[in-house]
Amino acid sequence: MIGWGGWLSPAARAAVVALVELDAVQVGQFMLSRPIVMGPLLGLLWHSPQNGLALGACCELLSLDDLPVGDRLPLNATVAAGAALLLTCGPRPLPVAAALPVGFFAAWAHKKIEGFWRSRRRELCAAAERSIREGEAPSWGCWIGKSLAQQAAGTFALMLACVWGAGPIVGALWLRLPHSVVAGLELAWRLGPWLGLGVAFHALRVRP
Amino acid sequence: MSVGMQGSLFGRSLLLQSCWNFERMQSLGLGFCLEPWLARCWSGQGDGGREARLRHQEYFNTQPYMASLIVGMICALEEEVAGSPAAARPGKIARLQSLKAAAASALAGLGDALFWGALRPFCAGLALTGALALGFGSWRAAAWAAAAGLIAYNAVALPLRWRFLRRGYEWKDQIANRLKSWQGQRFIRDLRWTGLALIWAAVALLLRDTAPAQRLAGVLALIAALALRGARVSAYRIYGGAVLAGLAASWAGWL
Repeated sequence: MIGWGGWLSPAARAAVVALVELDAVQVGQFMLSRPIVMGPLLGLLWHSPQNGLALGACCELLSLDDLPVGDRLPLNATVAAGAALLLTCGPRPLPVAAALPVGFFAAWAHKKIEGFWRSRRRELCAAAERSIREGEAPSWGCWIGKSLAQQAAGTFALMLACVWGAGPIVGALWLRLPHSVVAGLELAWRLGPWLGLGVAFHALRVRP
Repeated sequence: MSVGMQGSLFGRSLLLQSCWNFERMQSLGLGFCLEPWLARCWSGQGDGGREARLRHQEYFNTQPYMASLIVGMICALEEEVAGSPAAARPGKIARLQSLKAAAASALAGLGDALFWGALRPFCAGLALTGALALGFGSWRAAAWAAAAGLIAYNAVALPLRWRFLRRGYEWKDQIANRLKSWQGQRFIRDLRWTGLALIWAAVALLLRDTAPAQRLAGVLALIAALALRGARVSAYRIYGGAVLAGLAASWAGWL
């Protein structure tokens, strides 16, 4: 039986991931949100340094040559690592081999959410232009605050969906999956660092 | 430009992408960043300030770290426009707009190569290699990876972003000429070579820590990933392929 504390703690953790994710594009870009930094850091905070480092390293290497150039929206590696780590540290922890694919799926879903917000934010531009034209003092803080709050809320909702929805479902499925599927997922996880190193070689070989 | 003003612009430039959108990309963030400077330049000049704010609400996009150079340049050119007689302003504004657009696209290429293409892989290599050397499962390895990645990256990126503001202001329309004499390309090349050496070291350490029976599979996976990325297959699909390969191997009784 899991008490309220057991469920609320993942919600607080999801909020931390949502706040750190803002660093990926919108605030600062200090690399705090990069999986190789965020994974071990959150792993240390949540008493799971090994999983944090392993997931962070794997997501970092796999996303190393996926560049946010122009209007290109790459899969969000922060969300992938964050969701996977939340699932391995949750009230009913998932094996890492199962959590990482869920993390990738969350990153894909986040890409859709972010695309939606990026389209909607043009309304903020229109509001800013209208306000300046009418000679009002621009409400920069309000527009920026709204934009950041929307982004963080989207990420937070997705993280909660992972912890409270996908986590229990995948956890239940994991016990019923055929051996071959489990073996396939575990092999991919074991090969993950090697695949990531191949991607890293590619990132350093080809200039953006 | 006083240090206080530079600090204010720098702090605001950290939110350049806060309202990034597909239509005008970084324009709203740029407007927010330039606000204190425009307010200072155009105070008491009637509609000049409003028009200045409006002209920076047009499409703008560049590499976020290189934007500091452009912000500095815009500050210098806006100061020039505000200080010139009304008849000379349209020409100066047109020059400002074209310089801003040209610098945004030219500096984006340089910034992508430097920060995304060289510094980020270098820092990832440094964090990973150190963590593997310290023993991957330990808390020390995790602490190293987080600290090394964060500190190494920001030790280069933050001072550059700060200095770019001042340089952009001083260089004005001479940014392209000044950057030609900067040893940036050499720095990028050296960083990439060092990053490559760190990734090789990570491979060696991973081989050391892997059971002999699994080393061949690991090296084959690395080569396959390198080849597939060369063929533009996404890294996530490659991971999915590894799951399918595991599934097939399990069905064949190899696992």
